[in-house]
Amino acid sequence: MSLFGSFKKKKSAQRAKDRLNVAITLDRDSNLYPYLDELKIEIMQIVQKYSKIKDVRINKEKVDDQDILDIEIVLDEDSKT
Amino acid sequence: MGIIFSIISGKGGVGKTTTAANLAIGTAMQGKKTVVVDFDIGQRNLDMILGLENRVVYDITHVMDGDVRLRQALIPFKKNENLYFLAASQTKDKTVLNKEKVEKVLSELKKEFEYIFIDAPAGIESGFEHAVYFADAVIVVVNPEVSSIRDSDRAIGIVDAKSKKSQEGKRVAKYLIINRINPDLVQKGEMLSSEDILDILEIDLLGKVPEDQIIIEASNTGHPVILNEKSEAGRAFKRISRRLCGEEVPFVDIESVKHSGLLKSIKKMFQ
Ligand SMILES: Nc1ncnc2c1ncn2[C@@H]1O[C@H](COP(=O)(O)OP(=O)(O)OP(=O)(O)O)[C@@H](O)[C@H]1O
Ligand SMILES: [Mg+2]
Repeated sequence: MSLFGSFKKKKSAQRAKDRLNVAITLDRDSNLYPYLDELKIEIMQIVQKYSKIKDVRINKEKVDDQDILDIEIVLDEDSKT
Repeated sequence: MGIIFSIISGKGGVGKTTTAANLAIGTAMQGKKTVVVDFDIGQRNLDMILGLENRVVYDITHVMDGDVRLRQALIPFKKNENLYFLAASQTKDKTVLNKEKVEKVLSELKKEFEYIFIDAPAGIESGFEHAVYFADAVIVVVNPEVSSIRDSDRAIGIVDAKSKKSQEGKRVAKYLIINRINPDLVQKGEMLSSEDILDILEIDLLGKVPEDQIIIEASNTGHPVILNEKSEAGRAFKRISRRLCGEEVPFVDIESVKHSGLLKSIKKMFQ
């Protein structure tokens, strides 16, 4: 055993593992709700029956350990009349 | 009622078609009525890997469009009477598949066969979604390499979100095959080990397949490696097929380098 063994650069497989763990965790977080686009379209269709709307914004949040979908319906100016 | 296994990968070129061909032959060799279906529309390859390219008259689109009956499009595999093959169409139009038509063909196949393997296209587009929508189980093929592993995780996520079983609140079984393992590199710490890969992806291991030169010869001749006793990859596929048929087959540690070859040749020198 070499005295310098422990100072040696990390093997590349270990680096691959570390980097993959980070990348995949991020990927999974950004894909938690694969249905968001469809949801947005359906919400727009429903609300449009009652009021003119400008946009539906959906934000993903995490408060403590609770996942929250924050849905914001932005009404059109003319909709008040 | 048969079981539908979809063979997926995310990244292309990692060995889905090779796996589909070999496992289908494997379960057929175990006496199971098996069919293997090419869902890679426009990129038909499975016919050549199985050595059946000259036999294709009708393909899956003809069946879905009602031009011919399923029976007429199923091609028997000469080397094993339990196996049939259904070809993909070579059209450039990928929209030929739609849910209703796919379901009709697959439910017919489920009545006739015990094992149905679907060779899915690479990527996560609509062709992929059709290939996994009706799956009872998916077999994820990866290479020990970062892009393949990352892309496979994305593909697994889509199976969880979009397959029929998931949408009905049921679980789609997911199994991992690690293909093209190079034991030397794993030993040197320069290739991800199967343990590492299982840690990252968190799915069940179905088998490990080594890098094997004989696979090139197999695709040249249309004679898959599982039919070749000398091929290490072929033996690996055979073990996986037996697992799929419910047998408890211990995992072989193919990642430790064996120098038996060298040792044998040295011994020979002294004989
Ligand atoms: N274990 C192995 N050892 C050596 N070569 C292999 C191995 N597995 C696959 N290959 C080779 O890798 C190439 C790609 O394999 P294959 O066509 O099965 O991949 P695929 O995932 O179906 O590709 P695509 O995404 O394009 O459909 C082929 O040339 C095949 O011979
Ligand atoms: Mg393929």
